[in-house]
Formats: sequence, C-alpha cells, structure tokens
Amino acid sequence: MSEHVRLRIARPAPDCVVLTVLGEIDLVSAPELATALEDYLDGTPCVVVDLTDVTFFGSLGLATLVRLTNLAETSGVRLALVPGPLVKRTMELTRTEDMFTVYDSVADARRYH
Amino acid sequence: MRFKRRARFPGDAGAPSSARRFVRAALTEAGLDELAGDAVLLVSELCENAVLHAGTGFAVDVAADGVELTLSVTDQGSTPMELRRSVPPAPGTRRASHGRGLVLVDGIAAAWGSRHDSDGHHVWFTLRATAPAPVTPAPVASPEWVWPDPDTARWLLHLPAPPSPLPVLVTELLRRLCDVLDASGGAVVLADDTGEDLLATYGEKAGDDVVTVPLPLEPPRSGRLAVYTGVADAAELAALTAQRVTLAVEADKQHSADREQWLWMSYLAEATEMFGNSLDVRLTAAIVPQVLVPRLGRWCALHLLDDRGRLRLEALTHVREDELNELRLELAPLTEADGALTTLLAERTQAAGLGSPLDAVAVPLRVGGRAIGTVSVGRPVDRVHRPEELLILTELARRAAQSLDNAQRDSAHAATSQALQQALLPRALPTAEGVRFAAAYLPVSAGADVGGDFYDVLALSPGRWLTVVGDVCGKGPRAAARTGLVRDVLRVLLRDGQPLDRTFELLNEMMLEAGDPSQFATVALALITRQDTTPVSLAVELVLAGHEQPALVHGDGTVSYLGTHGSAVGLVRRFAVHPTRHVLMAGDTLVFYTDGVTEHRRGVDLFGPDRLADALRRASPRTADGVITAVRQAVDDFSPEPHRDDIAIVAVQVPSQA
Repeated sequence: MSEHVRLRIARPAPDCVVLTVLGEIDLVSAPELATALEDYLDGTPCVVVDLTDVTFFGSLGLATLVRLTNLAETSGVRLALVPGPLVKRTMELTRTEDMFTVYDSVADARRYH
Repeated sequence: MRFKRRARFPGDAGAPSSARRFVRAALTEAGLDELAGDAVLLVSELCENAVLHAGTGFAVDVAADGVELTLSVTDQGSTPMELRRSVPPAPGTRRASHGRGLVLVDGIAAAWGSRHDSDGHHVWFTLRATAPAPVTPAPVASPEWVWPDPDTARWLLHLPAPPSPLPVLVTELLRRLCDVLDASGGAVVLADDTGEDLLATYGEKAGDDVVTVPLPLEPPRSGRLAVYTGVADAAELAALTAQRVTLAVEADKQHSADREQWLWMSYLAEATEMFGNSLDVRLTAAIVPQVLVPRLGRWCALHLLDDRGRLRLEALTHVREDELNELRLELAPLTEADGALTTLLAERTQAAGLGSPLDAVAVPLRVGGRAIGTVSVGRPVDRVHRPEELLILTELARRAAQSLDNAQRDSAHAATSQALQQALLPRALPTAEGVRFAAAYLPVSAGADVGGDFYDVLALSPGRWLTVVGDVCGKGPRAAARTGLVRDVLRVLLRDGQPLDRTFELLNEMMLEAGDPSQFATVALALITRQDTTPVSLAVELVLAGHEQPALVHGDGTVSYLGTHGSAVGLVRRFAVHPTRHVLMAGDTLVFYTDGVTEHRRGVDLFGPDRLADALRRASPRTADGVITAVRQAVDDFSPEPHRDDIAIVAVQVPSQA
C-alpha cells in the first residue's frame, strides 16, 4: 500500500477482526484501502474498522466507507466503525453518521456489537 | 496587509496530498493554524475534483487577511467545476459516490463560489478564524537586539509574488534578513543525495561569527541557511527566513517538476511521431539514435536481430563524430555470443548497464514479447542517467520497437509482392538472328506494394515470338497472381495455335468468370514472325486490348504509334479487339510500354506520348537496350518525383546489320 495509508490487522477473537487504518484516506489511498478492506468482508462474522488515527478524511473516504457498508450488508458481515474526531466531523457535516454503525472505541465496538 | 501564496500541482492522484501539505505550511506561516484542519479538508476536495474531472494540473491560491482566509483552486477543465457534481446525494442515501465534496464545502465554508475566466475555472471558499490571527511570535527581549515590530517581520518574509527565479527570490530574503540583523552577509545551501549546491549568497563573511539554521525540507533533500552575525538571538529570525526559503524551494521544485514532466511528455510525443513517419526499416532505424542523442545521452547505438538471430549494428550516433569509429570498435564485442547485448536479450531482462569504457545503459527492443534488437545509450557527460530518463528511454524503446516492427512487416510484405512479380517476368529474353529484344521493369519507387505491370517475351517456334506488355488492375500479391493468370492463358492459347482475336475472347471470358469487377487488365500483344527477306524484316500482328499504342521508331528517327484500340480484358461481355499487321524493317524498333511511362507526373503535368516520341526520336539510332535506357532517362529527367505506378518497357528491334 502507498505511504499515505497503512492497515493493521488484529484478530482478538476467532469471530472478530479489527482493522486499524492509519494515515490519509484520499485519491491515492482510497481505492487501495477499499480493496484491502474488502478482502476481510467474507468469512469473519464481525469486522471492526478503527479510524481513530486517520489523519485525513474527505468525501472519498466517506465513499469508501459507504461502499464497504453496502458490501458488508450483502455478505452478511456485521461492520462496526470507530471514527475518531476527524472522521466523525466529516460524517456530521455530510449528515451521513446514521448510515453507519458507529462506536466510540474498539472496546465498545467489540463489547456491544 | 494581505498574505498570499500560490503553488501549482500536476493533475495526478498524488497532487491533492501535496496540495494539503502546501496549505498546511502556508497557514502556519500566516499564523492561521487553527483553520488548517478545515482548510486542508476542503482544499483537498477541490483538488481531487480537479484531478478527477478536469484531469488537468491545477493551482492553489492561499490568501489571508487578518482572520479571513480565502483558498481557491484553479484548473483548466472544460466544464465549470460546480456543474460536474451539481447533484450531491440526498442525506442518508447510501450511494458510494464521490458526490459529497461540495456538501462539505457548503457545510464548513463561511462563503464559497466559482468563477470562470481566461485563467480557467476557479472554485474558492472562505474560512474565518475565531480570534485575530497572532501576527508574529512573542518578541524575545534581548540586550543586543530587539525583536522587530510586526511590519518588519512581514517585510522580512513577504516578497512580491513570483515568478521570480528561485535564486533571485532567496537572495532577496537573505538581503532582508541581513538588513534586519545588521549582518554582513549570508548564504543558503541545498543538499540532496548527489551533493551540495550553493543556492544563493548575499554580502560577505566578516569575522568568525555565523548563525546557521537548517531548512525544514523533506528528506532526502536538506539545506541550511547561514547568516554572518554575532547577534545572539539571530537564530529565531534566521529560522523564520529558513521556513520561507523552504516554502520557496518546495514551490519551485513542484513548478519545475511540472515543467519537466511537460517537456518529457512533448519529447515523447514528438519522438513517436518521427518513428512512425517511415515505413522503411533502415530509415526508422537511423532516426532512433538521432532522436535520443543528445537528449538522453552522449551516443546511441541501435542493434537489430538479423535473419540468423544475430545482433547487427544498424545505426549509430555520437555527439562527437570523431569518436564514432572508436565507439564502433568498443561495441563490436557486445554482439558476440557471450556479449552483453546478446545476454540482455537471452536473459529477458529489462535493461543492462554497459561498463567502462562504454558507460552506457542498454534496453531491449521487444514487440509483444518478441525481441527484435537493442538500444544502447551512452551516459550523459559527468553523470549517470536519472530515473526519469531511464523511464523515458524504456518507453521510447517500446515505441521504437513498435515502429521498427511495423516497418519490417511492411518490407516483408513488399518483398513478397516483389518476389512474386519478379517470378512472373521472363528470366532471359530470347536471342535469335535478325531480331533483338530488350526489356525493363521498374517497380514503384516507394511503398509496400508492387503494381500489376508485366511483360513477356517468348519464342513460340523458331522464327516466331510472342511479345506481351500488360497492366493488371490493382497492386500487391493479388494483382501479381492475376498477372500470372493472364500471362499463362496467353502463352497456352497462342502456343495451341488459337487465332489472336479468339485468344483474347477466351481470356476475357475467364476473367469475367472470376466475378470480380475490379479485376481487369490492359494488354498490348504482338506475334512477331521473321521474314526471310534480304535484308531481314519482321512481320508483326498487333492486338491492343485497352492498352497504349506501341511506338515504332524508324532508323531515320521518325516515330509513329501503331495499332487499333480494343476493349480491355475482364471488363465487359461485348468484347472486341482489332488485330493489325505491320512490318519492321532493318533499323526499326517497336517499343511497348505501360502507362507508368506516359503518366509519370510533374505536378499536374504528365510525361505523355509526345514527350515519349521526342525521347525516342533523339535516341535513334540506338540498340534495343539503348532505346530503353533513353526512355527511362527521359522519364526520370522529366520529373524527379517518385514513380506512382510501376513501369514495364519492351523493345523489339531489327538490327540495321543483320
């Protein structure tokens, strides 16, 4: 993946994978990030995407999340997002926060999801 | 006082990220850090828009006035930016589109809009800081020196808008810094992987006092600013200037990267056009090194694989002609079985370095995985090839290979047609007492396809000959095949003793049966019988099937055209030819030709039968061969233009002395 964005993968439980996105989600990184994330959307029943440390998030990032959410729904995967302040602000400004299942922390997401 | 910054970015996917960094740095400089988050978000949306929809490079302008910040993005796209996504998805709609950019702009910006003028399309937005922007850091009290008032600080850093060349701009920044610090001089040094460069100096060094601060450039680039002063707190002000210098350096780099990319692209386009211009292998091969030198290196050698799979030097160029011979010698071992170029092709590598004394890089010429040769380029003087030069070289090699392959295919096609055509011409002309035959066939001077002209001279029996000159409609292998048909049918029927008019009727029917309206031929045919007169004479039975009249040149130089016109064969069912009888006396020459002779052009002017008659008149008396040479000469003298049609000429002569 490009230097813009990095992805960390953790499996705290057999039925759950936590994907942590670090860096900028933009024109360069959004397509590759989408591809990388989509790879985890089959098989594992619960997927948490941690966006707390995303340093840039615009409409392309939003589009990536929407696509991901739609895909998760189709493949019967429960997808939870942990947006962090930056991503949250973009969601609020575009009034899209209701489209996603959002938690304040990864721990919350794992506990309630 | 207004703060202004501008930077240009290329239209690629990485540009929005660069633009974000630029805006962040500019806002730090303007003391508007608190707006950076929103400004960066919105400017990125607009930049992505420019890249995705306009597909052009774009410029970002930052203007700050007190607490108000205006950012604008200008691109060269053909549709106004706001129209490109005038319909954002309704809130809550789960469309994964990229349509929410303007929703963000609208949600965050205090004001926004767009404008279309001669510069391109501008989309701008304004953000407001909550509190007045802090103009400068808090003054640091010092006994030696007092922090300048805000106006001085601005004067220190704010230069008239570019474009002034980078060294000029940096020198001016140094001058101002030295003025403020009362320093004797200063210097800015830039460094990267390859070494250090003195970018600008001002004044001179006086004494040992020097304050040095680093330029906050992104690795691998680095730099430092030195100012010759003993003032203790000079470092802070120097750091401020260093930041401004850095911004200028980054902007310049961006600008020159833009410009350089543009230059490479236009070079590539030009080169490709030149490669594609010729369908001649040798010519295309000769052009390649000419295009590459000196742009990509000191010399260039093009090797092509020959029929036996061995690399052969096809073209060579050196910036210094006097080094060509030595270079040729140094290149020779590379094409041996274990030579570097042979290995390059055998091992299917992307490129190979050629060591001293050549100091070059070689890349393979491949078309669809098939190797056709190599291109070697000598290093530019005193340095290695830069990565972008190697990229361009690889790309040029790919395109050159394509053009060379096209040319090779084309010449192979032409060679096939020509071989076919040559095979249809008689290997040798009959020789006999009392008659001389001579013939010439000139294929079209350029282009892949031979025409359908042919001639035939055949002894039917002792003292009786068949002479045919014809022109089969069309070009290339198909026409050559038809030529063979016409020739063979005439031979067989006449040998079989068929009368002339019947022979032509049968040929006409045969060609009509093929059912191809484009398939027809014009033929001039003569049956020549030696008369046992003294001196010897020849009886001629002549048939013209849509063909030009042959010229009869008498020994005294008078010229006349013989025969009666009949139908071309293969065109119509109602076919008629009108055989005529003539006698050739000693010294007479009968000249058959195809329309390539009479229709040879000089602009709109044709060579024509009159000029041909003139040429023949002047040529008399000559041998049969001499007459043909004279005709060819006259045609070439008339116009240097290449022949558009091929030419066949046959001369039948009764020698003056039997």
